[in-house]
Amino acid sequence: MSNAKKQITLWLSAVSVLFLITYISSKQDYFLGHLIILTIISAALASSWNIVGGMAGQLSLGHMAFFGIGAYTSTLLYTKMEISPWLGLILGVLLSGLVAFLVGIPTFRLEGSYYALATLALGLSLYQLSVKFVSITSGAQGIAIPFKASFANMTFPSLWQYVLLAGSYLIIVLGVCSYIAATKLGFQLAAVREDAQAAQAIGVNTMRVKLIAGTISGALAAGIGSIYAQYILFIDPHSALGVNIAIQAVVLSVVGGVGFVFGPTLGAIALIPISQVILKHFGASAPSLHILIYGAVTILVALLAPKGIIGVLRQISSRISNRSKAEQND
Amino acid sequence: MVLVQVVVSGLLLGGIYALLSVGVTLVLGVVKFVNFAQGELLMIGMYATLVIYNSFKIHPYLALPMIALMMFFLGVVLHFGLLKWTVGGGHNLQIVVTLGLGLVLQSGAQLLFGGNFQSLGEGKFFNSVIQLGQIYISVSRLITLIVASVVTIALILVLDKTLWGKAVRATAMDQGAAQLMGIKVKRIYLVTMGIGSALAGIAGVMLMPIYPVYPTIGTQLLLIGFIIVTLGGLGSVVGAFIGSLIVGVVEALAGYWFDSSMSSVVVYLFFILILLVRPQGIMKGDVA
Repeated sequence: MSNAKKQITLWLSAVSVLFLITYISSKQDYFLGHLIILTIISAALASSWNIVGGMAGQLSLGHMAFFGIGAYTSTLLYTKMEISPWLGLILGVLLSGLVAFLVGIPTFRLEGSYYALATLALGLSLYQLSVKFVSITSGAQGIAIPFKASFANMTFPSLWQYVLLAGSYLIIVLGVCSYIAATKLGFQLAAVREDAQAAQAIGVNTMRVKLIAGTISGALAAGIGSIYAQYILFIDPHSALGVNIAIQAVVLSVVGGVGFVFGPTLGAIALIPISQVILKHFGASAPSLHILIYGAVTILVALLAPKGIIGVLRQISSRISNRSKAEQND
Repeated sequence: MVLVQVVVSGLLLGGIYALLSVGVTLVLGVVKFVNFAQGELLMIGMYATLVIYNSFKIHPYLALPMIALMMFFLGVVLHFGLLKWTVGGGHNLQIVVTLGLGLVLQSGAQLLFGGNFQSLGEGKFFNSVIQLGQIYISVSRLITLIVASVVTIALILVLDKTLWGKAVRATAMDQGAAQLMGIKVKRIYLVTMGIGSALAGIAGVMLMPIYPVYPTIGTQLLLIGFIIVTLGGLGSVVGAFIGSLIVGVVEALAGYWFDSSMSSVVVYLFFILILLVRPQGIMKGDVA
């Protein structure tokens, strides 16, 4: 099959999987539907993170900032000025991209872990500001979004509609990721990730490609923040700007396969349902058990299978094909 | 006069930061290791102080040597059992693994102690204040600054004057050359990680009488620790100490001029300023 045909088949199957999941979630009980939406939202956020954290190899610990900018922009515009969340989402994406661009300027020109520290500082700052400026954000009390179901309000009565909404956004994010991976930018990012000095020596403008990756990553993360806010219909500093949001994006990407287009999605499919089931059953007696599992799995995967689930799957498939080749030779 | 008071409070706050960031910079300078679980080690030091005080009524400052020793061995065990596999694996791997370790330690603390703020209670000693003219100095914070200064000076003397210290500095400068000179680099790494952990533990002991402990206390302190290390110059122990005092004063002034809840935001802005103006820090970073 030619490459273009392969791409088309891949995306057609992604869309059909989405429709299948949407259909399933319309037939199932609430918990399963909720699980599916949370998995998709986490996958979309982690996939956005993956552009700068994985493809460019610039670890961000502050993606809650971009997620939160999206959530707060659309929510504030909607609740205070009745601007449609669809427009709010777009404005949040633009604002978040601008912020991500500005954070990149002082940090990407330096070697080392400054981007991780600066993004963490950005996220913690926005958290503090959202708690502090009560008159705008309602502070720690949070903002409830009124339930007025209509397409224009991005508010829907059934779960499957949110599955379709978040799933479509995930497909857009994955589309952007695979487009980057297939173009010159993707190869430049890989070169920067593997050896920034060597990349510079062969003529890659490392600062520019890192800034592009950081901006796209921050912008895409904001969109899923708006969708999350419209799904839960409530945001507060902890749920929209908590440091756990960023850490989860890192964990899912590492476990699924950092830098691979479908890695974070696989990580989300592997971890989010388990963690939600644990939270449901042990939430009262051991509220942080799922975090413990996140941490332990992250350590194990980072040390033993640095390419995550994707790496393990590739290893298995290449072993099987080698074996079948060997059998043919016999 | 109020401003003097604020600056004094800031310098005293810097004492806590110094104990944390000296450990971070030592580990970063010698082992070239970014430890994002350093804040969680401090958290363990705080809980250890709390448990020892609650069950045996041992005063935190008396428990300090014991906790420092315990944390030293914890650091050694963590390095030997887990972290040594990431040395030489690049900073991204180290951040991811220590982030995972931090999650495990945080949720472990949450399971053991619950998520609430816990403090030593209203012990009389912990609240006493010295008055110098119009300046008030909290005794527990003053002791913290003294301990931080003593520990930093002792560390600098050991690194500067002893043969072992020279070996550590040689390792920091060039790991390969040091190995060729017959320095047991792996042992230096092990002991350095132990000292880094012990310093975080001491910081925890000193912080406990001043501030309540909760499982996620480490995240914000860790970031401030790294900001100080950046300001001081990566790997410079003196730089980390001076940087701690500067950041302490910046935080106190920000709290005074704006609002105490805004002080950390101002410190983060200060960090961006450092990155723009002087990313190499104020001191040359070659340990000590």
